[in-house]
Amino acid sequence: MRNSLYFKLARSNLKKNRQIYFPYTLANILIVSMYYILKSIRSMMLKYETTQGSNSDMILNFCTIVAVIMACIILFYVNSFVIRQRKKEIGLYCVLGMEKRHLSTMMFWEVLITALRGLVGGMIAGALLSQLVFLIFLSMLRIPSDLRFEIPIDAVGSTCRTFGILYLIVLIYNILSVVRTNPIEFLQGAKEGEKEPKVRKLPAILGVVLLAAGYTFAIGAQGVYETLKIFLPAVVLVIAATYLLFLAGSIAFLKWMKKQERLYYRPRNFITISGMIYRMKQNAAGLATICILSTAVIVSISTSFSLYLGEEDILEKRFPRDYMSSCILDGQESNGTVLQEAVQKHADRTGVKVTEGFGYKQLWMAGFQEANGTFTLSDGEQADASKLYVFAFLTQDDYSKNTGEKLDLAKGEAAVYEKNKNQVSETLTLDQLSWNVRTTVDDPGIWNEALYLSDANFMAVILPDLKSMETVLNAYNERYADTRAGSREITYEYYYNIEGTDAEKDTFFKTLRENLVEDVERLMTVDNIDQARAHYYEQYGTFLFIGIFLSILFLIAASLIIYYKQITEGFDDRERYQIMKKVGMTNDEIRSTIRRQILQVFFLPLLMAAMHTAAAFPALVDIMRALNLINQTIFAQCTIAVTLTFAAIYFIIYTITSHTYYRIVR
Amino acid sequence: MALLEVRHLKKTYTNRFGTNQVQALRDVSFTIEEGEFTAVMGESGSGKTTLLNLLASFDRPTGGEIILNGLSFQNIREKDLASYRRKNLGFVFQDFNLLDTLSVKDNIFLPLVLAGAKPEEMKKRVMPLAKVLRIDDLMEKFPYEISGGQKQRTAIARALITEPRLVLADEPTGALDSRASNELLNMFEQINRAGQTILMVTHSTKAASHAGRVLFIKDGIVYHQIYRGDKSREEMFKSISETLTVMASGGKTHA
Repeated sequence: MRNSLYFKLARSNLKKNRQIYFPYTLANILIVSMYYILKSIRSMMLKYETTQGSNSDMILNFCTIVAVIMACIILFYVNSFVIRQRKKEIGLYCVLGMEKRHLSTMMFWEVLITALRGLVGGMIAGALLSQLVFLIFLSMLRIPSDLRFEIPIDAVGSTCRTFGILYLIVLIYNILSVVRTNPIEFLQGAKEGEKEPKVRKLPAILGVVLLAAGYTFAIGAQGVYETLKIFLPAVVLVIAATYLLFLAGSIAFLKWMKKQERLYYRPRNFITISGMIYRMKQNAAGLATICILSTAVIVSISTSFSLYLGEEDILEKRFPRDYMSSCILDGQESNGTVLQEAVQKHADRTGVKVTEGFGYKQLWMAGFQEANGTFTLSDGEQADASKLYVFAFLTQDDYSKNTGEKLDLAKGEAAVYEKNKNQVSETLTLDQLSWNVRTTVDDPGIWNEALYLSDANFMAVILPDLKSMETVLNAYNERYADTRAGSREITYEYYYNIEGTDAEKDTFFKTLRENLVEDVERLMTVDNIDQARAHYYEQYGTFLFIGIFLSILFLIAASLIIYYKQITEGFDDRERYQIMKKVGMTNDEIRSTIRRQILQVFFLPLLMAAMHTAAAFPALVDIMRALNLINQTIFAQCTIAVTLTFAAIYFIIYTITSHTYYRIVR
Repeated sequence: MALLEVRHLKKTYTNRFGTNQVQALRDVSFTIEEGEFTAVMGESGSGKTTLLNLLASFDRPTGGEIILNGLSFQNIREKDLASYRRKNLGFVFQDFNLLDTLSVKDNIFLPLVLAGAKPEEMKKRVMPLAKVLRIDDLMEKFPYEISGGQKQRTAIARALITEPRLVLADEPTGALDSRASNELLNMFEQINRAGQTILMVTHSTKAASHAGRVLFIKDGIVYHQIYRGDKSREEMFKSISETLTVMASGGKTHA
């Protein structure tokens, strides 16, 4: 049978090119299994019909699309590399009398075998792992589950379809590249002297300038609004700068080093510098991409991780008690009694006890500090965050009730808490209103999302009575009620705990809102810490999961790219090192030169990624604040831990790769 | 005292399982005086490449001894070999073996850089050499930009810049056309007249006819040798040809 001949040939080809095909097959298996896992988790989520997880489904779906794109990139990159490496071999088949249709048949079998290995291996690995990953996913989301082994048919079908199409495209590409090339080209391969790259001064300088600009933006931004505004432009600048620096900057720098004779003509630098110039030319784009993706991985994992871990901190701030209800003050409600009584009534009905309740009236707004120290009302959208204050107004009654401190404020007087302990002038002036500052007090411990949005300034102003608060409210609404910022209200916030069995608590909370609405006309928030926690974990748990998932995909891609680059270079460098050996370089010298070169190529992107992360850190802290994470220590620790983990994984890839490289060169 | 002394050199290659032994060199002895230009001739498989590898210290002999300038190779430790080679030997290869990432100048500098020489010192040495070899206007070019003859002259400059005791050349004209070959061989003679000791392995009769002495190797032993003496190059060419004919027909000549 002629066909079986080509099949046999294809099989032995794959075996002979093990060094190339083994990582390729492994990557195929990994990618297929990742895709399968993602798909099966989605279908399992749907089957469990958890009320929670609707957000997750959307994010998972998005992640699947990214996974397919990554799979495309990896498959095509590696495939084109494989074909290039095998040009000589294919050319030889041509010379030995194989026609293009024979070569195509051979290619067909090769792709089919690789595809089957990838699909079957990937799906087996996926089926085994998906249950475990699903459990991890659910526990990240804090959704309880029981494990049942299953293989969702739709996931299998979808995997086969998607990768079937991908492999088909690969096959078409391979056949086309075989048909298009003539045997002589195949035999010659890529062997010819390369031109030394030229210094392109302008792009190099532009790279430095853009990087400096991006960093300055990121570091110099004040406050959340400004940071959010400049972050994307800064990222774009830094990405552009990274490419320019790797492409032009590296070569300019190396050429400059080459001009420094005392530096260049040293045994350690001589070979490295001249070799690096060529190496950078071939690899700059790839290295820049790896650098940027590494930064993305480090940033996204460390942010989602610290959001995930910082969760209890945030909840603790938001929920001084387990339950929280609030309403807007109007004619009906002036002191929180209506709300409190309604809660009590509902508690009696469901047989639980309200304990440790406390509440207060509050009014929030923003003020802008003028040069002379007085404040003007603001809708909070001014750019200069250092001059922007968040004001919280409270009454002295509520303050005394909750802290036990008596203030005795008379009309026209106020007590003030300033978060950053800045000196407060004797008279506090806000537009036309002004108060004599009688005393400064401790943190009243109230919470509002706005507090975290503007990082710098917060002032709590304790006024004599509700009437004074209404004066402030009216002044604000007169000015802003009809603008985009809208009118504000004085609200009553009520925090309390509930005593009772879990089942009782559950009924209490489930029916709380519908019952409160009956009595309280302008009810706002009805929340408890468990519900908030569940929402939180679902959202950030999914983020974290997806972040890790995509990072693994990225690492596979990056390590494959690096691995194949090293192999290609190993074949190129082999000859070079043989020459150096003959000219009188010792084995040790050769080994240390190789090590330096690989290390530089490898760790340059990582180093740059760490630098980017460090520069982005202050801005990220601000953004995390907007996401309610105020614990900077957690974020810093997460960032460092993630960076180190990433570096460690990267180092393992490096060790494996350089080992292969040595073997080729030696 | 002779510059190079080769005594009863023997090299046996054994395959991996030790079942099959090939004697590349059986018993080779000769000496080379300072300032000599010697060619080693022989057919493929005669052992001349093996001999060169041993002389270059790329490989260790199975038996016998090589003594360069009074020091036996046996007494040099493995890790010192590279630096010994760098200081005492210069190499010219058939396929030039230039590094394509280095300019002509830097290729010439390579052994000096490895030896830790100062940039000023290297520059001082390279210019006179480049003038003699007529590559002084190519210094900033890269190997892919120059011709084969120019490449080989660059390689010679690289071999000479360390001022080695002995230059070993392995088929230096093998990859060159006849014009470039002539030029190169004349240059070798010129360098030799300036006092440089050269040992050249070749199977080109014409290349060998430029040498002051020709050693013939056959079946792993020195089979015959011819001194040029007062002979012209044409006469030398003729006697080498005759010797080769005798050797090929299996006749016996005194060693």
